Amino acid sequence: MNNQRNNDSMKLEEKIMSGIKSGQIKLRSKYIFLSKKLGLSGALSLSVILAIFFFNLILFYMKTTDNFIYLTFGKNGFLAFLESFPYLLVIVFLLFLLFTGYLITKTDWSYKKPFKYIMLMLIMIVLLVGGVLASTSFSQRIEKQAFANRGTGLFLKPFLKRGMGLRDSGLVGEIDEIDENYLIINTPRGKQYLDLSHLLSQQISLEFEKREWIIAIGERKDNIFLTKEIRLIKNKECPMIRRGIYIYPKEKPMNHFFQPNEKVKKCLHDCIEVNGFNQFCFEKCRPMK
Amino acid sequence: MNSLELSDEQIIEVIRVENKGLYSEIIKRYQNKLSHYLRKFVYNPDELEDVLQVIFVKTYKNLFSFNTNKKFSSWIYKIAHNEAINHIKKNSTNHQISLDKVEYQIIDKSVNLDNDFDKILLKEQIENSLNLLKLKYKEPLILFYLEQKSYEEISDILRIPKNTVGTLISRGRKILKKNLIVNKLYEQSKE
Repeated sequence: MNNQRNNDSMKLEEKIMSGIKSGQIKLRSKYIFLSKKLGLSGALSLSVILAIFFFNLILFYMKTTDNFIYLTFGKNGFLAFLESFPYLLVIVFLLFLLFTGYLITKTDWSYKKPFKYIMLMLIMIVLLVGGVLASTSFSQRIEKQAFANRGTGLFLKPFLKRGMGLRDSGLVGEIDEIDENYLIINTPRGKQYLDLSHLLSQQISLEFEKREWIIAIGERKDNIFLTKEIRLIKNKECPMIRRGIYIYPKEKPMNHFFQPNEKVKKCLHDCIEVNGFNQFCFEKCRPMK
Repeated sequence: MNSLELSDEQIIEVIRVENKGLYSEIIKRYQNKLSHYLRKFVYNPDELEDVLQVIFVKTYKNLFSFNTNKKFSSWIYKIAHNEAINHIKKNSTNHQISLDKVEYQIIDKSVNLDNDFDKILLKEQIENSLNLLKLKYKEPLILFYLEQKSYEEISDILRIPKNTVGTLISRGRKILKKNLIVNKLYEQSKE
């Protein structure tokens, strides 16, 4: 039995060694392993950096747009909050976080500590560094590049443009025209008409002045925003939207908006006096091309 | 320098740089150890030899990926472990582990059955109970008790945290003991 085992051992050793000597079995180049290692380290570092970067953009987006402010309206503002939520940023951030977790499992050291602890540590680092980065002017520079269509920011425009987008259940802008039943406000997407005749009873007595900033929730019907609740916002709120109106080259206005001149304004006013605030007046007073 | 005086890690450095023939020394050092380990997972002697050959070939081909600051034995056992798992996945048929005398005595001592058992019956029952254990308990138990590996080495071989190794061994031992007691009660009720 032992002799048999020894013979088998010898046979195996001979078989492998003859394969090595004849060149059938070769050592894989050390450069293959080196490049694999460098590739993994590089991908891991890049993935962590991008996770931090996108988390920073999420915080920046929430801080500088109308997204979070809609929650101050209570459950009525929730729809507007959901509508203005930066889904694309959050999805990309989560994908990078998951990808980082996946790459960590491929490293030599990942098994030394339980995976959940490593992920917890990673998330803490990403949140901390991302939070610190969001408090610097870094994201604002990215935003400027994105809306000026230049630099690396250009690639990030799809992620940020939602911040200045037109919403169906919420609106932020600067008051340009005040009428008894409506407001015209400036937004990054051109002028918007707010019908105030649907305001909740406790809000009817509100008074506005030109150049004040308002945030409203309600419902968009064709070109008109039927306002349910409206309130003034502070100077420091929604800076991205403010910059969207005055700093960046104008975003292409939506087709159904137009810039009213004095003639149009008069027409609108007269029409509303007679017919009430409705779509008909806007169609009637639209300047011919 | 005589190759017998060199550590595994030193031999690997020599093989990589100048003397590929020295790999035979590695085969000599690990052939019996690995076949002893693999026998717990690969039951057919011909298949075992095939698996062993694959392990040594893979180990040789990937020698440059081994970090000589770490322990070579853990690294080659890790390759053996992976191959054993591959073999189990390919051949899902259930086989019976066969322990030698020393091995079953080690297990007997570790689960501490207080000589309650008929020793002839015990060997068979330990084999059965070990077979019934889930792979996640069986692997660390085999490496710790039968291959005499430390927690650190088992952690490197199975790529699990050291604390988890301890937990799995402790749980595995409890389950093994429970199975043995249940088996014994069953045998007694039959009598």
